[in-house]
Amino acid sequence: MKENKNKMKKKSKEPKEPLLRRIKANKELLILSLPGAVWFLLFAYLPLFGILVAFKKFRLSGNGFFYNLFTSETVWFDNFKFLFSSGDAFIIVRNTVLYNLCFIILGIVIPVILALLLNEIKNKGMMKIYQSSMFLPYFLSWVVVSYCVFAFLNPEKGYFNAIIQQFGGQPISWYTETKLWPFIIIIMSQWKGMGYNTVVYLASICGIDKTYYEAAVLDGASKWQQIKYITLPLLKPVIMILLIMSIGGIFRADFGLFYQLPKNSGPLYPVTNVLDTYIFRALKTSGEIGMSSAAALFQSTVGFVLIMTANKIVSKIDNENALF
Amino acid sequence: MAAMSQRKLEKRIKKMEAKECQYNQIKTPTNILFNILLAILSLFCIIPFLFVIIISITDENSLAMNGYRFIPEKISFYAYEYIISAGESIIKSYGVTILVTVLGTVLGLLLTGTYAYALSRKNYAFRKFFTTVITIPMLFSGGMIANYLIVTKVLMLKDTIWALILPLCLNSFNIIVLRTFFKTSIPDAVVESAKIDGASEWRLFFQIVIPMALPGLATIGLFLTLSYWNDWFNAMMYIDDQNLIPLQYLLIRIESSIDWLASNKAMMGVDGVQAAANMPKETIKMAIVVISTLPIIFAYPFFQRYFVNGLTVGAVKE
Amino acid sequence: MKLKVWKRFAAAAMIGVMSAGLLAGCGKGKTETNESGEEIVELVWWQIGDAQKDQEKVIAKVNEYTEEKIGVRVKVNTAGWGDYDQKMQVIINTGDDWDMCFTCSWANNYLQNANKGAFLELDEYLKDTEMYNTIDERFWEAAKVKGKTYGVPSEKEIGSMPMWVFTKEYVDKYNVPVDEIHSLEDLEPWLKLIKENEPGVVPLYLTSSYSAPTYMDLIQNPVGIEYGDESLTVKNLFETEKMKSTLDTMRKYYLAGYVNQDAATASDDKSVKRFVTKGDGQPYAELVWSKDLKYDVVATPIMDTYVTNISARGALTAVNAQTEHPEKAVEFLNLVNTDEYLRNLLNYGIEGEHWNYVDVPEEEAAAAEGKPYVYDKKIALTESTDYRVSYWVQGGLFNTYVLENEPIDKWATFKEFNAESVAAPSFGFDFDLEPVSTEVAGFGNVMDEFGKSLFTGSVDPKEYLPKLQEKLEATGIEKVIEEMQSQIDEWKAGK
Repeated sequence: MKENKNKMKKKSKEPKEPLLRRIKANKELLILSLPGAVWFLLFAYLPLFGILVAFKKFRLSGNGFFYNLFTSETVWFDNFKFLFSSGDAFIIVRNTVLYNLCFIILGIVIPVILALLLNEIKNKGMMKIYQSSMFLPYFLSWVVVSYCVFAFLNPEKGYFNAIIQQFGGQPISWYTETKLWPFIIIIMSQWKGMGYNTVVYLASICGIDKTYYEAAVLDGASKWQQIKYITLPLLKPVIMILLIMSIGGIFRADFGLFYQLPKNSGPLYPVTNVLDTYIFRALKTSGEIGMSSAAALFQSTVGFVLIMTANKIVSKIDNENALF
Repeated sequence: MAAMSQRKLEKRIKKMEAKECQYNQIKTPTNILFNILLAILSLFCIIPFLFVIIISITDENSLAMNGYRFIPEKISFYAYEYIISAGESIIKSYGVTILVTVLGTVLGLLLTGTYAYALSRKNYAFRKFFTTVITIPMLFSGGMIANYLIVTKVLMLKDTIWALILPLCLNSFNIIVLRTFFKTSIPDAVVESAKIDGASEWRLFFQIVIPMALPGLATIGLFLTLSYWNDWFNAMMYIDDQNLIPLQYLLIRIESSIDWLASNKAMMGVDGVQAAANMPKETIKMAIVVISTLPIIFAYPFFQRYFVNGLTVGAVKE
Repeated sequence: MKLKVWKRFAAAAMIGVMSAGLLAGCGKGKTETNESGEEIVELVWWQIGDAQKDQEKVIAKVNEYTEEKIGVRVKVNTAGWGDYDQKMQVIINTGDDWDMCFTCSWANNYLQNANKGAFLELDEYLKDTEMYNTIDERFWEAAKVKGKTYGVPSEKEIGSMPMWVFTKEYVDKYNVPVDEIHSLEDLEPWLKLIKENEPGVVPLYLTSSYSAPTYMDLIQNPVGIEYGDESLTVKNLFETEKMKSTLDTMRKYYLAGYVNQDAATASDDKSVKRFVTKGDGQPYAELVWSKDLKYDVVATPIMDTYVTNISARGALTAVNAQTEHPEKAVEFLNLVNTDEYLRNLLNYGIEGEHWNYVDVPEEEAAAAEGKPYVYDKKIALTESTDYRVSYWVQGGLFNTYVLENEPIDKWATFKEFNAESVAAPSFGFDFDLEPVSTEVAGFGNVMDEFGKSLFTGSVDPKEYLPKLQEKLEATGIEKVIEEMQSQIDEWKAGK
């Protein structure tokens, strides 16, 4: 139904060509996009009815999910209330957004620099080794990473405090020191993701038509100039697309990073409590599925609005690089 | 006509190949500096993994006595012996993971590639519509319960490996990234001249676009491989049959159980202590991390090949 | 050339599709009957804990027995400790096919599910069953939600017994009168002694899962009713005098260096040498702890053991409200809880493979003569670790045989312990949190943020207690207290 509506809208906008003829003209491309579209219909659109749970007080009164869904009382926005009921709502939103902004910026800057470095070094064998090793952190779960970090930060037996004491300093109580954690969290998140994020840029650089560089060399351009005037501008479409997409996730946080890594330490909450951890702790006891749906819907809606806004802005500036 | 465009392209590619080694390289001191920088970063990434390996070969008792240490007091390969002796389920899980990863990556590449290609074509009339189709699910999802109903009741995939493959084979992020790759790395001129030659979209996609966009496809292929290899959530949701448990879930299940038992200690009291005593020991857990990560590290260079080759493959040569 | 590569890929994919199809295989069988002509029904049973390697083997043996006896076959599904809640939430809410499941107060929450309508009311099926008479009636009482029974309790220890757990080595060395130590304050001189004389030893070792001794039934943490308060006044834990003084004492200990500095975040590190720690015990808990720590410990109860809804709902098995075979499910559960052979098979696995019988030393048998739940044999587990389940996941403890290193009258002691446990004044009251679910959702965060650091004395209660109160007030603790008070008054009036 949704598809039909969209098509209709489109049709009314461009009345010159009837739908059927357009289908015919685009037959081959339509066939190419069909398998993917079917997948989206099955795995992404069919389950969307689940969103209704967010407005329900879900109770089991009979057989089958749908029967129960429709017989459950509709409570509209009651399930959303808990998100704002805490006095910490501001801190939690602030943390989520600020961390994500950092992640978005660093998640572009660091991988782009790394991709450029990797691309430039002469020894391609070494390049492979560097790249493979930078991928390693991606495979360690946050639980395992938190063990490793704890071996360093453990206030009583950790390596860092041992070093500090060796030099006559005062040992630091790492898991209560709020000032340090924004840095630890940002460093660790970049550490874990940099190998993965670099790949896209590295592949894009490889895809750049070499004739550009060739011409530049003939004109006597330096390496830096080549990067500045060829590589970076040609990376822009990828950067912009990834930027727009990551903005949609600004209200979501990597649970393991904010929960496992700081060992769920209470004194650190002012700097580690983010939406996902808050929701987890809030629903741990009540287990109301309406509330968890509501939380997810809230995060999605904010993300959707932000993505649309970002896309609008980008398309105003440079239509080529917009999402659509 | 066809012969001409073919020749033109060939010429272009030859020229590029010749020039590739020619375009200027960075100076040696800069090269050394870059190498040092990258080496340090790599070291930071290797150390924790090394740490995991060390713990996996530390003697269980000395681990209990001293906690995590870089230099183990006593080395023991007990964990690996244990895994080999109790190996049946782990080998089975390896098989499941590999099968799922290979099938999933191939299927995923095919679906992502075709969809992204269509979106990348400027004259595709339904481009905007199909972009919208993939943008909405990027943000909204029906949630665990709705997904479970669709996968188990509508598609009837419960306890099949398809429940591990299909939910992950497409995603909006990959499509959009690949679309951007297609857009930037395939010159319109190439597509147009092929079209003029009367090539069908299939031919265009399989014979021209794929070879030209290898770095992009390799990236998506790598992402797919990684997501399949690391996936455990679908296994938790849809697989009850112990013969179909992938390696990663085997590991995550142990991790989350240990974690849960530790944090619910007060609630469970002695029962929790008893249950925890039945869990695999720390060293075994780390050994599983090692054996589940090692193979995938070797998958990386496989995809990496395509990054360097890129355009030089010989775009339209049969 | 490239095309060929793709063809090869396609071929590989096809092979994969086919092999996957094979793996998927097999559907449901036809209806079968057992020798007495009864139709055999299959019941799906969800349990908490990690899947055991030999589970299928053991369950096959179980089915062999139950098919003949009552015409029931079970299919056991397990979800790991950490996954069980989530998995059951999905299974229950989607109306998946299941017949029985493990439920309790701390996983797959019994009360919530019963209130939600997920579980079958068992009362009419239970009346004439044997287990209804053999299981302690207080367990049945605890299983009642709004007057209806929704689960079959696994009979185990009925109350939770907070204890101080001392390392025996130091107790012997300094002649610590363990039996005279109960309250937190009683510990002080000994902590001091250890601190002064044993430099490498943590006097009071605490971890992040520690909660200070609480003399109240926390019906909805941190709100509840104090033990012994017959007037049933709902209170905020952090406003009780007892808690306030406890927190001050903890802070004093922490500052004096009696407590390990990382207490609020530490997870139990067995390599840390400690003099005393807190544990939640039951009879013979020392044996379990000693085995776990690999050295001997002695324990002493901190307070009398109280029976609360939470403690008495330690393990139950519920039946799906939508099951097609309610009678069979109850019949099966009855058999599990009363049939010695079946119970031990389920619990320990197959004789000769996972365990063997051993004789009871005559002396011991004689001493235990006349006590309840004393059997004429014990069990020695074999080397095989392929089948290890927790006792209470499947059924009651008392009709299992004890292990060879355990006293033959172990269950009799448990029975005694249960009899001695006092029912908390609020025992039997269930709080319906629906009117205040928004407020309650806020508690989790506040408790996590301040609880651990306050309980361990890591922060100054003078500064942090007001902060905690402020946050609890912001999340609406007053409303929760009010609501609970009105519900409990109503409950009291109707009692």
